[in-house]
Amino acid sequence: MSFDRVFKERQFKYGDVSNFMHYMADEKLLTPLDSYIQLKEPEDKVKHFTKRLNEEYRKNRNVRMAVDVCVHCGACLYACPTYITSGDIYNSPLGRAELIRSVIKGGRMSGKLFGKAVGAVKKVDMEYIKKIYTYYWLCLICRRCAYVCPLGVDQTDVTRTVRSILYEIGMASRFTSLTIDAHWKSGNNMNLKPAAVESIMKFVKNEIKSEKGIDVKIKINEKSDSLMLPSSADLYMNMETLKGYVLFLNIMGIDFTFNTRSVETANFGLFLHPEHMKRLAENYVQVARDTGAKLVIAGECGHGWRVHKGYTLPRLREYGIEMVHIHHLVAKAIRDNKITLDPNANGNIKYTYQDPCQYARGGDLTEEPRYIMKHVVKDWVDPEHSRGYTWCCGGQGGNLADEVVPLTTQYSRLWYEEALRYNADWVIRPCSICKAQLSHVVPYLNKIYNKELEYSGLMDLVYRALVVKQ
Amino acid sequence: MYRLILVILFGYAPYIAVGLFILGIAYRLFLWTSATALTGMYNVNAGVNEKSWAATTKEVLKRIFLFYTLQGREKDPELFYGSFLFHWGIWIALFGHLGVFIPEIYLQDWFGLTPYYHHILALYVGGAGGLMAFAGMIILLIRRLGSKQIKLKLVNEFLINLKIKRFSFLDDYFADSLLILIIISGLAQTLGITSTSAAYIGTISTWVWSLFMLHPNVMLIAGYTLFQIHLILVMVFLVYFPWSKMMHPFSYLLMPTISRPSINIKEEAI
Repeated sequence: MSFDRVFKERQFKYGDVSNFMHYMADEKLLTPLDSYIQLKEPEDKVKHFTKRLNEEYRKNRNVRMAVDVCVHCGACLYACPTYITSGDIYNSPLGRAELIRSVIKGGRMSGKLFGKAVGAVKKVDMEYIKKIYTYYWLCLICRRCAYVCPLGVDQTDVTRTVRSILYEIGMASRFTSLTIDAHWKSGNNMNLKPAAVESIMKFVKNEIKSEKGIDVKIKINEKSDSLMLPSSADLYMNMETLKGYVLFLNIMGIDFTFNTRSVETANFGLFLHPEHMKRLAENYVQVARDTGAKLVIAGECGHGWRVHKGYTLPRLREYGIEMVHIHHLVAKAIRDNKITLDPNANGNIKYTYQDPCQYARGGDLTEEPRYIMKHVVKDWVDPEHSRGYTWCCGGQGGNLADEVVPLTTQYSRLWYEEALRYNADWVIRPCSICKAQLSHVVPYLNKIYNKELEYSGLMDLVYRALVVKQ
Repeated sequence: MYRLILVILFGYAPYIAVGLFILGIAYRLFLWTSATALTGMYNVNAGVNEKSWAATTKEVLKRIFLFYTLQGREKDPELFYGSFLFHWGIWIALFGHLGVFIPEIYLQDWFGLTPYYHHILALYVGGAGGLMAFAGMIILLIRRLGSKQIKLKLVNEFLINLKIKRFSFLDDYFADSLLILIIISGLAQTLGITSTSAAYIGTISTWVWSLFMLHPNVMLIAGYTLFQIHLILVMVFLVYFPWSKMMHPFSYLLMPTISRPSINIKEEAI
């Protein structure tokens, strides 16, 4: 299988996962990345790290309050998928928090007076920062800790902050950096060029014609009422999801266009640096304005939805543009009897719906997908760990990187076993990262558990269930 | 000399402690509000369907009073019951302290609370609150010091080691110890009172009232050593509180992940 070599080279050991450090981006990769946001690498990396950490702590309310109010109760320990499955205390919200809290404490009066007794680190050096890099890149940014913490301490936002400072000193995950670089250069994570997009859309049109017997209209780079933002992986790996968008929007008579400057809905800037996140989001805003769209429709992508809801949407509203998720439109169409769905089309299969983290925790997108599920399949189960308690796919937060697959396969055991608990045959996780992660780990998990679990997005089911009236 | 010490400790220090407590909290809240950024986002809500202020308020109240996000009711009962007992115990005990702050005559005039019923309430309700807080604190402390393992059963069983001790420091133990000592010294007075020796009714409340009136009469409490110890510990607590994690109740006012509604999708846009 694809990752056999990595499994041999990097073996998972319960209790210590420090060997799973993400490969770092080299200078050749970082130089253009830095130039996009006008970043200059500092001369004294250690000094910069400490200084910026304190600055960010003072500046960001979510970070400041997370550091200030955590009472060390440990509720996050049995919420965090990375700790549950790895058993390495530094690979936990509490462990990660202490790695940097000790730096902040070191600069305070209490830290200077009492040192280790109050958890202050004596000396911050590159060795210590490397340890921070290792464990902060293994965080899934799934926000389960934030939801479970009675005080709402979101360690994942601390993770984002720390990663951004690490990036400023030239320490960034290679995989995430490559993805962001592709997004900057081509407008999508997969580096799809306009000609490729047009060719794929032609293929999709033909596929829909042959499977559903309908001629669909696909506009590319044209003025339109709506701008559709698919995940670029939908044009490459999740073709059924893409067909779902196109067929549904056509049946509904919605005037929409794709745009080759943003055949994407993801925003890996979320995982690396707020400046990258904001500027990549600004591209979505600009494309929507240039398209003349009144509505932007987000495709299936969890973290992308978080950035859209937390950043892109307020910015779009400044120009009188609204944004929704494709699931909002489908659910509304079902409620209003605008479409006909045949659950038989999705077979006699037992499905289970698992919320992508960022749809559930802060995304407010939990009920629409369930409503759709009720209408597109005959048999499905809503698991115990759902909505706020949903398990991460194991590949979020930049952890789709090849070099960590043996570890993220462990992370994935939680959602996988959750599906097995209900004897489900098919897992629905309508998120691009989830689907990519599942493509990495399901072959291994199926082998370990001797099962044949399958997976897909939700629009795939909508596509199959949609009845086309000639 | 003894009188001078009494005057300093119980005539002046309470004003300083309360002043530092209020100013410290205000300063801390100022620091939190002056941190306006949200790691590049406009909104960082982490709740589920917290779409309005009403939903957000409900969510926060459920977290404060029911501790409902703690999944450990079955898996980690020490945290759930320890927190529940401690916090509810403290709230009951704090509420009961109103009986010391309000002079007896007003208690009777305003609430019809006779000394007899005041005594019964203090002994049984206040005593129960103190005992709950004490039990909760002990449970939490044992949990902090122990090496607990939590089992998560899906298909297989995942064993999760709660290594909280490893990340517990002097400030955690200081806060825990201080609270335990305050509870014990308060509880000893509450459980030790009888209807004929209810100092809080005639004596201590008069001293508290003299503080309110800015004419502290320290001699009223000169003979109450246990109360004096309790008071000194409380003053240390008040001064320390704003600079510690004990500020966490105030975080519910401002925590952007749970105390602010998320950005709504407009119904008409769908």
